[in-house]
Amino acid sequence: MEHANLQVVGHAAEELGRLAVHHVSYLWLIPLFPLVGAAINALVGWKLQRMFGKKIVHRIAVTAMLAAFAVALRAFWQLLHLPADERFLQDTLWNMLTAGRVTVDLAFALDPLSMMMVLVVTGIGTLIHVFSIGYMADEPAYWRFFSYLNLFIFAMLLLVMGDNFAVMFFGWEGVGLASYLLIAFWYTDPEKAKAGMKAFVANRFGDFGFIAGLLLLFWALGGAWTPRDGILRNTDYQPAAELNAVAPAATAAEADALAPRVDGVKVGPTLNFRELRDQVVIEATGVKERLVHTHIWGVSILALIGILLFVGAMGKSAQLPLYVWLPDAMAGPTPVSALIHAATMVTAGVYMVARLNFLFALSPSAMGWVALIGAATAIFAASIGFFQYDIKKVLAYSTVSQLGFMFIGVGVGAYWAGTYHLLTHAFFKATLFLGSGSVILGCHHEQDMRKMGGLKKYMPITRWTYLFACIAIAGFPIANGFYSKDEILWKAFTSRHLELFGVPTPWLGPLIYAIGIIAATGTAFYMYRSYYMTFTGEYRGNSGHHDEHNVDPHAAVAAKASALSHAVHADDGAAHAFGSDAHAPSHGAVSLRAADHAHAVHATAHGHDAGHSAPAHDAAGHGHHGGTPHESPWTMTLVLALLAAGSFFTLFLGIPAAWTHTAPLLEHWLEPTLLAEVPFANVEHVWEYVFQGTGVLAAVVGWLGARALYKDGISDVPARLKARFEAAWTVVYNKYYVDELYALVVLRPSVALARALSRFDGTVIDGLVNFVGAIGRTLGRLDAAIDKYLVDGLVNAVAQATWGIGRQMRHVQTGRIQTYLYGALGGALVVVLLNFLIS
Amino acid sequence: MFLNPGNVLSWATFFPLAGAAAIVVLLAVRYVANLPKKLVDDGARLIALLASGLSLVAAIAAWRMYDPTETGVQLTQHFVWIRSFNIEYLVGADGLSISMVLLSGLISFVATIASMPWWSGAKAAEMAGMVEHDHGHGDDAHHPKHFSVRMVPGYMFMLLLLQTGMMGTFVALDMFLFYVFWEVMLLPMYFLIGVWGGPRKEYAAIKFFLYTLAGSVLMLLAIIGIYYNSAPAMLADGTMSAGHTFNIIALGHQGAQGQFLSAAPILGMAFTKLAFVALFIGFAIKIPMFPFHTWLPDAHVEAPTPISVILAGVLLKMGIYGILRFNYAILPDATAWAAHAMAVFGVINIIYAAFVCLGQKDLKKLIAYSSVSHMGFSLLGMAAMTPAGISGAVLNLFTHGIISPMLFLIVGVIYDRAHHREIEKFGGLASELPEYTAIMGLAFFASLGLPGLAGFIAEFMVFTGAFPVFTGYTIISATAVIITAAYYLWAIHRMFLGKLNPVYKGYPDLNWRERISLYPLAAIAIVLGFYPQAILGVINRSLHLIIQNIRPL
Repeated sequence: MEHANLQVVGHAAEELGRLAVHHVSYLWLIPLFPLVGAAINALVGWKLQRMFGKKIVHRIAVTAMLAAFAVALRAFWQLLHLPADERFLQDTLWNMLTAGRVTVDLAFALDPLSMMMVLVVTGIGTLIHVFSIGYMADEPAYWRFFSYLNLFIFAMLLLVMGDNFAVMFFGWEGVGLASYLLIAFWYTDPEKAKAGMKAFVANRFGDFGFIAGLLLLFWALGGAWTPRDGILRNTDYQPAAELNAVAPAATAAEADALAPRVDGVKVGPTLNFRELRDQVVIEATGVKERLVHTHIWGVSILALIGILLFVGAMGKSAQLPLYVWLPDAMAGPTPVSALIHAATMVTAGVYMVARLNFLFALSPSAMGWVALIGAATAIFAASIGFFQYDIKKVLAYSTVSQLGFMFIGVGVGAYWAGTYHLLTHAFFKATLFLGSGSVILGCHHEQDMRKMGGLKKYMPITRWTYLFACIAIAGFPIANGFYSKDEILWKAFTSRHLELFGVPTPWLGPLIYAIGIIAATGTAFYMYRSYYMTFTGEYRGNSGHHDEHNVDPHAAVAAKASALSHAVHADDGAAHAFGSDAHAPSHGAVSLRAADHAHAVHATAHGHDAGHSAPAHDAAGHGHHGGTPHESPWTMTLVLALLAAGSFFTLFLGIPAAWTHTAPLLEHWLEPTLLAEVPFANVEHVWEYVFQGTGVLAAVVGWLGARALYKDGISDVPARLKARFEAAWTVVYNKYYVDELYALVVLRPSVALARALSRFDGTVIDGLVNFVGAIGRTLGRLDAAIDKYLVDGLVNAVAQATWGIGRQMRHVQTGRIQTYLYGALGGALVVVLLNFLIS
Repeated sequence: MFLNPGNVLSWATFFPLAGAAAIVVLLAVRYVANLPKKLVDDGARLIALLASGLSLVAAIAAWRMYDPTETGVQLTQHFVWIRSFNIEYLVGADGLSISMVLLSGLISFVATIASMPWWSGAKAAEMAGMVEHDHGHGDDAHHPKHFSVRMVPGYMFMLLLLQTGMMGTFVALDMFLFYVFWEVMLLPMYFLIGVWGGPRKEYAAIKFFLYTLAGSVLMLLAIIGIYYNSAPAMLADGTMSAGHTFNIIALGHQGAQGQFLSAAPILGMAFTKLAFVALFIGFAIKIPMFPFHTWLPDAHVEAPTPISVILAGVLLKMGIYGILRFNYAILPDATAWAAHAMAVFGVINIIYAAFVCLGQKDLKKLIAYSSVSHMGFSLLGMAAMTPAGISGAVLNLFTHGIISPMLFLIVGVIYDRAHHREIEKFGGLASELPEYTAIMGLAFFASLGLPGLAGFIAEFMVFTGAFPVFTGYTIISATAVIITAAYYLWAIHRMFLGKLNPVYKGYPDLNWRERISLYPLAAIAIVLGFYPQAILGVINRSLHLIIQNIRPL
């Protein structure tokens, strides 16, 4: 039974020490190239495109990708030649911020796990860039698209290469931004723009959890600076004085010098992954002991941290209940769906959990929740995938479901298996998405599978690659998907240590296995359904009346697209209205400076976007799609072939130990990073073969079911079933009305509250101010009245009196000398008299 | 060298005033020599640009001269001003001041640039209502003359006077001097809103003026109270002051030693607490803190763009600055007493204003309320009194001081073209104004706290700093990351995405005046997003010193 216990055995033998770090100075080049590519195309792309044509734009972008990939290979080479436990490259650029104990460097690190991610991101990323050359050929805002793609790669590289939580979060949000920009790429369509907004805001819910978890972790490692309210919240594994000594640090050097150490290991709050790993993993620090026994609000702090961080993962990796944005994200161009919404960005949550494996492994509760949510998502999304007609929607729900599988893996503690599924999924799902892109392009921007069919005749390469990817995802042992899915489900079955609410739940592992195997059957079913609906039977897209001279597929697309656009125009209006506006923005963006050039593009782009922007289920206008489907240009089919080949060759990374009696290559490679010790039950060896057989059986059942119902589009059973179970079908087809529920529970109350508060602010709070003002004014008026009638009246009265007296007195001043003399005499008499009287 | 550590702050403060004096001289010459209006207008503009440019140069020089490894006040200049009241001319800067001096110089200059008239084609000029022969609707209320061409010398005079007031407030280390500068700011602001503002300018101007004045009165009372309870301190010429002192540094030392604890209670309330509350309300109006915030949306909506820029970029920072400089430094005990309340008000500011933003229909009001929300982060961070919290709070002042001017400039761009700001009435502008859309996107995302842009770091630090002290409040305020994203993205959605509203067809994209004012700020927002230590390195030590007096670290 060495297999099941491999991870435990591998590490229990030796005590884990500090991470050996090799400092290098070239890692920053990996994200730099895509950043430069993005910047060039963003700033002067439109000018370059006008002056030199679209070639220059994609050359810049693809060159940036190739350069990044080359540097990544260089790093991989270096890692390969290091001893397994020293595979850690680190590159610090500068200290971004330091204040007290918060200190963050802009630093990159490559360990086996992030190395794998970087190779996937730059490798598959490059391929998808190449694919986009053909797919986006008719897009006027070509430069904008490639700029965004490069920007995405830059952010994704920050995410996986970040040496600390902060840099990771930079990437985390950066990919969110790029995703927003790319989903809403055709922003003149309000629906697509709304999908972008939905993706960003839904992810922000996750980010809230992520930040909260991060804060809790940071705090748990060091405790509060000062006691407040008499409650000393310090976790006391470190002398408070030592921890507090770091507090006034103003620079990185000070913070480092003041940081408390145990046996040379830095302890205390940190955002750095290495420092976190060292202090948690090395027993002598006592950190692990403390963390495990710390409770807050009656809950184990580690469980809370794990669950909150997982909420962040739920957003980014589209798990229940935050998955709702991902299906809508299909509004973006198909290469974007392949790159961002299948191969790379959505796996960020899985990556994060795997990166923090040593932390999650300490909390069976957190692990239990991760695995349970993963399993629930896997089956929930698979069930929605059953009845979708939009080929991209099928793949979107499939992605959500497969991400669930990954979370089962990292949840039950099979970190390498979850990560391996991330890798295999990147290949086969990219193949599927790009295949669907090829189909969509071949069918003139039709996404409804009911209007496809029989495409194997027209698009052989696309068909074979798509089929192979279906084999991979369904789980037949000739492709990579089997190996990763099997390992995940096997580990789920043998896990007995999971907990929920702090209560041990040994039954949870087998339950998750059962859910997983049903979901796997469903996966095979809906994937083969999409294959049979698309590629077999007769072409249902009203084929054949148009030109057959399509030597150059693009000329044909263009010609047909404009023809279509006119046809639709003549017919009615809705779709056309969308279509003609859809390209306006991108067109406008360029044409402001490049009216001459853009005009030519205009004609071709016109109809091209019509398909993009029409609502997926809106049949109106699409029935008129004329023209024969055609195979895509070689840049696209080559990429498909390469990715399909990847889906095959990556299977050798995960050949089960049960077959070879050595750990799978990838497990061995990832071992230094995924060091958590998770116990699994000892189960007899033979059972593993049984479970592998069951996995294949599930795939066969799903496949045969789909074959019976959908091959060649001749069976009427699906229609009969649909009629029979109309109500259930409607509920599932409408995705269980989750979006409507969100609108009811979250959206409308928030907006109502916002409206109410702004009215409150305008009337009550400001009303109060104005009321005080009014009182002031009234007092002022009153005062003025008093002033006018009383005070001023008095003054006026005095004045009046003075004036009156003066007038009366005028009579005295007559100018006659004798009167004056009488007066003087009278006065003198008075004075004398007074003098006499007083004295 | 012309600028040296002994005078650089004074130069930064008085260059604008010199410019204002020059404009007065220019006006006098105009009446004597009968100069043409255009010449005088252009002369006034040139003087304003020059004066605030020089002020910015001096501010940058001061920032370079400041040694962040030292604690305490640097770059001081002082002499005795009014001996009988122990009043000094005392300017100087610690890390907190120097960051605000830099911000003030920068934003003042940007605002001056934004006050220049339209620099593009005739069509744009016509749209701004600036051309005299504008088809006869020049007197149309909905087609007002642009502020940049109305009574230019007066406008520039007021603008420069305002700049001196702001800079002086940040460098004054004598309470009386501080109060003088504080009041100097008020008057030009009143005129700038009341004369060059929008349709309800009189209402907004008077509201601003009276509201702030009410706060100032409380502040003045507290200042006088503190003065009469203080012990003597050394004056600039080496003699001891008679009885009391206005010297903020000396008062800080006295406060740390409990000088004001022994003061006689007033109306049964401890003097320190009463003084704290009086000062705090005076500053809280400026922040503005709920429920004293309602003057802000009105003032912003009616103020011309450059004045909104200054208002949001610099004036709001004075509230927090004042609290740190006075309440925290001089009344440490009362500060510890009030910390909890400050945190609560901070949370209310953050969440309440964010929801109000979500319900706004006027773009400028939305931005104004977002300022209220963002200043809440500073309140929360400084209330926590942890190094990360207080550094984050002051970094938030700086980054918000970079981002919110961008936002108001952006509102100004569209208002100049469309003459309204109703979010719902726009639509699809991205198709017509791509460059404008790009810079708008950058500013909005910076403001909603996207990592890699300036706003995020401050928020993050406030959260990390406040979490150990106010765990619950911090979690509540962290929900703002969701609401903020929602209101900004919704505004983008309604204004810029979707189908182009044909009314806005043919609108010109950014012109050079707008570019010159926006791009430097955008660049700073990006640089600070990745290297906030540029500011933190300067402010950290001074701030840690302030909180050390309140709570030993």
